[in-house]
Formats: sequence, C-alpha cells, structure tokens
Amino acid sequence: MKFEMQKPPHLLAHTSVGDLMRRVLLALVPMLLVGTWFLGPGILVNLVFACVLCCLLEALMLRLRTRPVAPFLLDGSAVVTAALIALALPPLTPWWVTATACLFAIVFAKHLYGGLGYNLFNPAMAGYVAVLISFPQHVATWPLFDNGLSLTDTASFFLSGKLPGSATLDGISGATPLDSIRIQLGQMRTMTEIMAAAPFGELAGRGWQWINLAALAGGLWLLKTKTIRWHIPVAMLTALGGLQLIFFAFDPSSYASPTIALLSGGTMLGAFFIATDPVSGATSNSGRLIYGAGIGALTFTIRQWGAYPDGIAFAVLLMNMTAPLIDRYTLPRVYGERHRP
Amino acid sequence: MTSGQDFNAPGEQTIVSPVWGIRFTSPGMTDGTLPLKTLPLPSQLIVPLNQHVGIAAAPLVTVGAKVLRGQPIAAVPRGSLGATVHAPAAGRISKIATHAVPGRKAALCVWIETDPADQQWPGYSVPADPSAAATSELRAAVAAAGIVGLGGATFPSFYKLNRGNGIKLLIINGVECEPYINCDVALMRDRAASILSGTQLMLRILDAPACIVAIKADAGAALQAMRAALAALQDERIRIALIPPVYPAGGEAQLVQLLTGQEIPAGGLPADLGIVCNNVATAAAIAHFLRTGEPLISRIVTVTGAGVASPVNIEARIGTPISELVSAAGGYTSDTVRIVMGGPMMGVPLATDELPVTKACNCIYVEPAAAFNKTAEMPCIRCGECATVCPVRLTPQMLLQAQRTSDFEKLQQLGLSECIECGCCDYVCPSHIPLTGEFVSAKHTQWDIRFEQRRARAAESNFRAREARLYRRAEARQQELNAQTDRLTTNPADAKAALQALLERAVDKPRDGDT
Repeated sequence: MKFEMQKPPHLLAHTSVGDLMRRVLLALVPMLLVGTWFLGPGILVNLVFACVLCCLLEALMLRLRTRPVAPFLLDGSAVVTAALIALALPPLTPWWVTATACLFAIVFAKHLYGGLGYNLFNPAMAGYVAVLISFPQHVATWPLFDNGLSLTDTASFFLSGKLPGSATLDGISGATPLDSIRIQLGQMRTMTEIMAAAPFGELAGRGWQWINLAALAGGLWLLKTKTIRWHIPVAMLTALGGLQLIFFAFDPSSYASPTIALLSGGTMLGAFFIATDPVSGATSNSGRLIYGAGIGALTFTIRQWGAYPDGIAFAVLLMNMTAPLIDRYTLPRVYGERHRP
Repeated sequence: MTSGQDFNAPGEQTIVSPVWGIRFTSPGMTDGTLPLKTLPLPSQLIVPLNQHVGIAAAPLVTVGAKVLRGQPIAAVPRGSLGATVHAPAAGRISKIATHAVPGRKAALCVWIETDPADQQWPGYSVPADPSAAATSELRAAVAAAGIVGLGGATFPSFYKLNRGNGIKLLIINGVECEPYINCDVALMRDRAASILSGTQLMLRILDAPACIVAIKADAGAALQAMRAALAALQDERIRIALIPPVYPAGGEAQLVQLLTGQEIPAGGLPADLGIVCNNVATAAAIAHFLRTGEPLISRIVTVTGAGVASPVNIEARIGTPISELVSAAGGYTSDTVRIVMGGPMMGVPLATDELPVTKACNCIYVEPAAAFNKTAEMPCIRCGECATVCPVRLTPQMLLQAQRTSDFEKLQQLGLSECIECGCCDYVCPSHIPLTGEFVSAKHTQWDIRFEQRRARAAESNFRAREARLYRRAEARQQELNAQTDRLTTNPADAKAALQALLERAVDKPRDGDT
C-alpha cells in the first residue's frame, strides 16, 4: 500500500486555459459563417493563413525563449489571436498585410513582453493597429457585399495582390456603413439621407447588422458557459450605446442612432471577444465595469471625432494601459477589514 | 442580504446564495445519505494528548495502569487553554510514547490494550436534571467532558461558552463545509433530539436569547429530522436557517456573514459581534455527557472517496487506527492512494493509515492516486475567477504576483493573513496554479520574517541597553576620578598623604611571581 502526499486541495480544477480558448474559438464560428456569407471567402483565407503563421511564430518564440512548446501551443491562445486578426482585417488583403499583423501580435505584443499572461496589450489589436497605421489603404478597403469573388480569385489576390480579368479592387470595394456616416456627415448631409442610401438595412448596415448579431450570439454563449463575465461587455455596450443615445436624442440629423452604433463595425466582436481578453484587461468586477465603460466611451469618441471610422482597436489598446491602475484602485475590501488595503 | 439583525423573527429563514464560493454538483460530493455504523471496539487504541487547540495534556496514568471507559488519562493545568483527554475504552495502558498525530505535530500518545468488557468509569456526578442545574455546574461539566469544537477546529468548548454576558445569538453549525463530508448530516438525521437538547444547554450556559441552527438547504432527511425534533421541542428561541449549498458556507466567518450580514472584525472572534458559533456534534456531545456521564470518547467520521469500496459514516472511538476505518468502509480500491484527514478541499494528507482518529477527524477522504493527472502549471492569465470565488474577497492573482516577487509588504497589504486556505481559487484556476499552497508558504515566510524581526529588535534593544549601561558606568567612574582630582588639587596635604599611601602600598604589594 502506497500513500501519496500532496498539498490540498485534492480536487482537480474543473477547467483549463485550453478549454477557455477552445470555447472562445467555438463562439466565433457564427460570426465567421455570417461574415463569409456576406463578404466572401476572404475571411477564411485570412483565417487559415493567420492560424498557421501565428502557430509557427508562437513555436519559434517559445523555442527562442527556451520554454516548452507543446503545452503553450496546445492552449490555443495563438489560434485565438489569429482568429481575431482575421476577423478584424478586411477579407481582401494581400498576404503580407496579414503576415505583418501576426508577426507584430505574436512576436512583439506577446512574447517580447513575456508570453501568455504577461502581455500588457491585447496582441491581436496591437497587430491590427500596426498594419492599420502602416498600410492604411489596404486595411481600410472593405469589399462590397456579394462581390462575387470565388475562393480561387480571393486566394490569387491574397498571394499576388491582383484580381482576375479586368476587375479592380476599387470596383468591388466600397464604403462600410461607418465610413459612409463619417464621410457624408462631413459633407453636411443628414442622417436620414445617409440611411436611405445603399449600405443600410433594417437595423444598421446591411450585412454588418447580421455579422454583429452573430458575434452577439457567440458572446451570449460565452456568458452562459461562464467563459467570460458580463461586466466588460455590458459596461462597454452601455457606454457606447448610452453616449450615442444622448447625442442622437439631442441632434438626430447629425448623429447615428444607438442601434447603428451597436450593430456596426467591430462593436460586438470588440465587446465580447476583444475587450474581454483577461490578460490585458482589468481583473476586479468593479474594475471591469470601469474598463469596459472606458472602451465604450473611447470608441464613441474616436468614431465621432477621430480620424478613423472605427475605434475599437485604439480604445482597447488605450484602456489596456490603464488596466493596472484600475486594478490598483478597485481592490475589494477584504472580509473583516474596515478599509481597502 | 438577510433580515439580519432580527434574530428572533419566527419561522425558518432561507439564506440567499452568495457570490463567492463553489457550487459542487458531482454525485457523491453532496449526497448526505451514507449510513451510520458503529465500529466494534478495536484491540488497541492510540490516544494523542494534543487533540485540541492549546497546550498538550499531561498524562495522569502510568504504563501498566488499568483504566475504565471515560476515565481521565491526561489533563492540562487549571487555567491553561486545553482539554482533558479520556480513556476511549476500558483496558490497560501498554505504552506512553511520542507518535505521529494526523494534522498536528507528533506528540505524546497513550496506548490502551482494550478490555472487551469495556466498563464505564463511575467517577462523574452528572446533575439529575440538567435543565435545572446551575450554569456553573453545566460549564464545569463541559470542561470535565473534554469537549472541543467538533467541526474540525477543536477549540476547547469550555472557553467558548465561558463568555459571560452579552451573547445575543448562538449559531449551531450543521452546514458541512466541504464536499463529501457528511458526518454532521448523519448526526442530524439520526440524533436530532440530542443536538437540540445540547443546544438548549448551551443557551442556558451563555444566557443567550436566540439560536439559529444552520442547515444546508439540500440536507434532505437530516433537515426533516431536525424540523420534527424542533417542532416536538417547542422552543421559540431556536430557529432553523436554510443555507445555500455553497462551499465554504460552513466556515464560521462565512456562516456568520450569511446569517447576520455582519463580518467578524479582522483578528477578532464572533463574540466581538455577540455571537457564539458551535458545531452540531459539539452540542450533541454536551447533551450526551449530561445524559450518560460519558465524556467525549468517540466521534462520527465520514470515510469516503473513490479510494474506498463502500463509503460510510462510522462512529469510532478516539484513538482507533484509521486503517480500521478504511477496512470498515470495504478497504482500498487501489494500490496507491491519496488519504486525507478532512475533506478534499482543505484536508491534510496522511503518510500512513496507522494514525489514530482524533477529536478533529471528521472525515477520511481516500482517492486513487491515478485520479490526479499531473497537469502542467500555466502562467496566470488574470481571468479573475479566483477573486470572484474567494469568500474573503482577496485577489489571489495579485497575491500570487506579490508572492512570486517576494514583495512581503504587498502581501500584507493585500490581506494575506485573512486567507482561510479554503482552496476555492485553486479549484477554479484555469492555469492550474497551486494558489493555496503558495499562500500557505507565504504565510509561513511572513511568520518567519516577523519572528526574525522580533528577534532582531530584541537583540538591538539588548545591545542598546548594554551600550547605555557601559556608558553610564564609564561616566560614573569619570565623575569619581574628577571628584578625587578636585579634592587632591584643592587640598595639598591630602594629596601628599594619598601619595604616601600609594607608595607604601606599591612597596608592600607582592609582585607577580614573587611568591
């Protein structure tokens, strides 16, 4: 008879980092499908490429840092980063844009800060912002819905940067709803006029509303499975929607409605999949409310008055910087103590 | 949170589920239906003399002596914290020596070769009608019976009940803290009347106006039995509160918070809030002694886990080797097991099953070693789940960082000393970081540091005192010399005489080696 001596507790943990990451990936599937439906197979091409590259880079960096490769590769965090990059980038980008985003995300934002758990910034957003600033013309060009490009056309554009036949990138791309609002409000048109034009549907942008609703569905499933907590998405959506509502109520001809704000661009992806990245966010519940609200408010500000049509990525990175401070000031009062530590 | 301050509100109270803690759902963890068996008297008992908080009891018997069941065999000096230890069975003292004690340091133990006749010691005079006895008499009985907190803390009950006035509420804790343990559930199911009679005695001793019996809302038959017994008793001071099945709701501090909405001040006791909290088994032990004159010589132990063939609750004499309990539960199911005294969350691992049952031993949890797959520890991803489940609202992820960077000041600021080591943070950690283990070693380091600091301070003050003493001595000598110089310079005749005396002394004095 042998007796094993180990410290308590003697129950195995009921979840793992790998489980969490796999659930996040699973929750992204609806958005991926709806996105592919509207925007063509470009997302899938980007996704496969980004996944392979991120895993290779992850393995390389782990080797260079003399860390065990298998457990960290199997935790799936690199794949989540890849998926978020693929969903954030427009579906029609040359391969080197995606590659630069992946390189910056995995090598610079993640491993140079110490790898999983130590990165100050959300790696996917850092990678996305790096290419957004470096190659604005490629990252700001979104294809029109139902652009009719086949998988082979998309892949050949991805590799060579050329479209088949006489097609041009300008010919099949157009303004996103957020772009239209931004540009046309600048041209002194009213919201009613803008909304009557092409890229808008029942709730918000045509297609974009469904992409956002699909992300919302995935996000709600993550909440249900307790993979994420409600504080960040609720605070972010409330801040964004609330600010939008205040301005919309004040002047509906120059401000989009809260519905449009909530169902356009990367709002839902940002709220449930990006802002909720635990490593780079605040950890206490009250801290998460502040952190989420900050992202919502900054997104609103950038969309309304900034130089970019969408502001999720910048808002997330800016709030990443404040997370340690928020944690510091939102420490809960310990049981039985009168004051916060 | 609850109706809180109004302890006298009639009827049952249902407590709302807290945000912290773990809701265990696996079968076996929560089911309180294990039967209660009594173990036949083992041939040998090993009775540790340090089964309580305080100093170890000193033996009153010598090797070879015959003892009867319930006879005191060791006691602590009057006035010191501790409890009397009794012979759990009649027999002969065969050995008194140091032996390993589960969950405590090795200590002096008394070996008893039991006598199957097992005659009871007649030395106790129990009041004929306990309900009419004087409070002092009841208190003395609790002390004489060696009763300690049977929830696992083993704090001598006499001290808890010797509180004087000002106790507003007595809490009787029937909320088994950990999953798998159900010795208290079995006790409530089978001996509800005894628990309530002990409760009434405690109310008398404390002169407290109200009592809440806390029972888990899912306790089933035990809850029904307690309800029936309480209805038969018709004591309006006593009420039942239904506690949500959340771990660790049965912890004293957590239970006080759930029931009253108040928190025990840091470093304080429930008595600071006018509350005394006792386990159901403690209440039953008091009632049992006053009814039968038999002190605390046995307890109910849950023997459970996938490592034993048929889990069961066993009433065993104190000192019974744990191996006998395992045999009574059908033996081991695997060659290599993890055997733990206490529950799976906080239990102490045992190096052997040749250790005795003590008053603290509420559960023996056995799990095949193969059930524990070694999982690699990953870095903290700051998911904050640990902070969400922490019953004392610590931030384990920040404590971990402070511990791994040896930032002792930060550890203290973050409230390390308030950690109750419940293991909730470990259980939810997706990175499988042994948080509780880290915090336990951090606490030990802090104690060491504080000890070193105290020692350094003591050494420093000794050094300073010595310096001051030497300085004072030198000062005094200097003053003496100055005074002498003054005297001699002001009076030349004296100086001459003094010089003469000095010379004479120098001439008379034998030199070294002259003899």
